[in-house]
Amino acid sequence: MTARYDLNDDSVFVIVGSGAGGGTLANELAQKGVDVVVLEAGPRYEKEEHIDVEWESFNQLSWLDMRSTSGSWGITNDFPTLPTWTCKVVGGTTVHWAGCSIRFKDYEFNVASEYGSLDGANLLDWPISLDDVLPYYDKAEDKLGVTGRHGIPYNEPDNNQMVMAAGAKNVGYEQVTAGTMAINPVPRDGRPGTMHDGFCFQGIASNARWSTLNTEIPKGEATGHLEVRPEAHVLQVQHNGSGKITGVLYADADGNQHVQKARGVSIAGNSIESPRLLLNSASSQHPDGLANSSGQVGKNYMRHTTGTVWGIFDNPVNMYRGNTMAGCVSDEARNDPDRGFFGGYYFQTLHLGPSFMGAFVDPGAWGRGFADDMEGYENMAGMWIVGEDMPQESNGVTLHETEKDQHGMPIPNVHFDDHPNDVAMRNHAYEHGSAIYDSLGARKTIHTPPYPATHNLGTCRMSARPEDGVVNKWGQTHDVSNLFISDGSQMTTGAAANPTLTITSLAIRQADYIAEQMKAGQI
Amino acid sequence: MTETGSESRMRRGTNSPTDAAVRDAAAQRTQSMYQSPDDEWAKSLGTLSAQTGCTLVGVTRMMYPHDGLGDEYYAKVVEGLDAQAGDDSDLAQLLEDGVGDLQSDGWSDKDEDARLDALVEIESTPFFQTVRNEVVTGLYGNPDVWEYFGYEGPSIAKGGYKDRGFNDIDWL
Ligand SMILES: Cc1cc2nc3c(=O)[nH]c(=O)nc-3n(C[C@H](O)[C@H](O)[C@H](O)COP(=O)(O)OP(=O)(O)OC[C@H]3O[C@@H](n4cnc5c(N)ncnc54)[C@H](O)[C@@H]3O)c2cc1C
Repeated sequence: MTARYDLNDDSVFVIVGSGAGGGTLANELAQKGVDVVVLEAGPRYEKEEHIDVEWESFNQLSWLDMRSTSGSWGITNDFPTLPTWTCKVVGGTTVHWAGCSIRFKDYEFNVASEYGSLDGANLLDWPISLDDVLPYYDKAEDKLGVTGRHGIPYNEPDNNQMVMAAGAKNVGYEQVTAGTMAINPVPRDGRPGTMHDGFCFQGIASNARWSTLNTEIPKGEATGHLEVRPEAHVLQVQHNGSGKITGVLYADADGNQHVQKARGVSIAGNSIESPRLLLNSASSQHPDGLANSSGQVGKNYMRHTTGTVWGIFDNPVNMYRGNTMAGCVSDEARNDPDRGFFGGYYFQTLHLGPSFMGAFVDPGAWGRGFADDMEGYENMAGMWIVGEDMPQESNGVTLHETEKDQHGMPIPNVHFDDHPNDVAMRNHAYEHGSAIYDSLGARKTIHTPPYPATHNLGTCRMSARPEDGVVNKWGQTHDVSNLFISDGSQMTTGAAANPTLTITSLAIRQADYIAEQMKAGQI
Repeated sequence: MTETGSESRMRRGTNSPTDAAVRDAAAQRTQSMYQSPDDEWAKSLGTLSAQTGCTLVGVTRMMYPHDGLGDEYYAKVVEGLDAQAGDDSDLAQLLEDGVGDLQSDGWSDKDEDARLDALVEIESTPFFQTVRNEVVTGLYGNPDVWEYFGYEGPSIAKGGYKDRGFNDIDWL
């Protein structure tokens, strides 16, 4: 049933990337009868090929093309060529994600108005409100099978979560749940219920967790309107003299270059690659990069304010038995400047195996003190902090002046400095996260700095006025009508919640718009 | 959090390296088959010299010391370095030179504290960092050490942890 389209077929809609944004948009359009070609830089590994071993899986799935970093974030020192933690495979980072699915809050679409002006923060209100997204949140939650919503039960609490919940209760938190997760508690939509196997970050071998690889893509392919072309790395988006996009240039697995013609193009390469592709598509009409009349392409990069708190106890926790993320504490997810910062954050359970723990718990550290902490592995509980970070114009993606990748495309440099608000929030969260474990008599708590960013946002942001951002309220670029952005880079601000539910909701919404525009002959 | 600068990333333990228990464990290990260039194991390395190989066993242990783990697990890390050095002569040179520098000062014959000080001195060198990175992935990533840390690893073939203790905590 999988469709095959000719390179010269200019009636197809081309999507760059097959992750949360691209994979969802592809299925939605295919369901409406639109012919879609998805060009995906990575190979296709079905679930049977996924590996439940941390580094082996990481090497199979991750985006490891060369990148450089700058700025005062710890990453420049600890992981200088790995600013982000994302995937290069069919299914994108949804093959790797933990499944935590939370809606943004009302105020989080209007933070410029809500927070006022904040030194160094390039705040802007979204051109849409929560009300615009609500119907699509419902659809996306149903699609992803989010627990605790629409009559789907929560997953049963695991050890790691029971520790966090007990401590949270001790310190007075009230909004404590087993998490709204895109992981089936019971069989649903052709996928089994969870067996709490512990390897959510290592692919979808058990198939209980939603991914575009196990849901959107096969469903789209079954319509006969979708071709997913793996190992097709898009290098440039091309346009004609009148400014319309005509197709994309891509390199195949052997490095041979082809042009796929298109009636319209959407870019969903995650927030480093999407702006990189626009910048690399500069032309005489678009001297600063395609669709960059605002100068905002690649700017305002956000990665959420994150960190991890580990508690080492006197007795076993065995946190690895259970889903990688499960429980959630939501009490701090509110805007209460009395805490010393704007915006809010969540605590979510997290476990790593010994291999990732060794690499990430305190990057670069060594010696007996480090080894002693590792000896406490069995007695460890963990929670991740995820909160809103401030968009700053100076944070972002630029093309490297000299270094090129395997296809001759300039590598991206990712620059990041924390905003003082980010630092204040992280410190507050470390302290209150530790208090949760201390209330249960933790022998020690450990504060782990941010990992290479798993949430990447803001580099092609949505704005009401063309001079403030790259795309309009539909994710359509202000400058070019048949060019769209469909991933987290369109987010005007980042909110506290993990982004993927919102990325998929916006993709479903965007599909309705694109289909209408096509019908009306606008695309 | 990591700061760029000269501050050491070595973290001392609560039990100092001169604790009696630690000394005992070390004394026991002098029987190990991975400590002398005359041992079969050291001579069996494909690329690295026997002296370099067995010195690296001591260096890797000192970087991430787990008294309950035998030298064979650290030797496994060194075997990994040896295999890579076989395909990468720059790496081979880096390791031979790094060990040569340490041993030129009689590293193996020093006491525990002095050996640690010597490592702190070189911790920002490419030699040290290359070896350290390899220990982090090669030691903690070795499935044979997981049981020691209380980790049961991949579970799908066994039906996940659903019926094997995912919610068995009993002390809360
Ligand atoms: C370990 C981990 C855990 C996570 N847990 C959660 C969670 O619990 N909840 C949550 O909401 N989010 C989570 N995330 C984040 C989530 O995975 C991302 O938000 C989401 O996948 C982003 O969707 P996207 O469409 O923007 O990009 P991706 O899903 O990354 O997809 C982008 C795709 O585009 C491809 N691509 C890029 N450039 C090109 C090009 N030039 N040509 C062709 N193809 C290209 C890439 O190969 C990739 O497949 C997690 C991420 C990680 C790494």
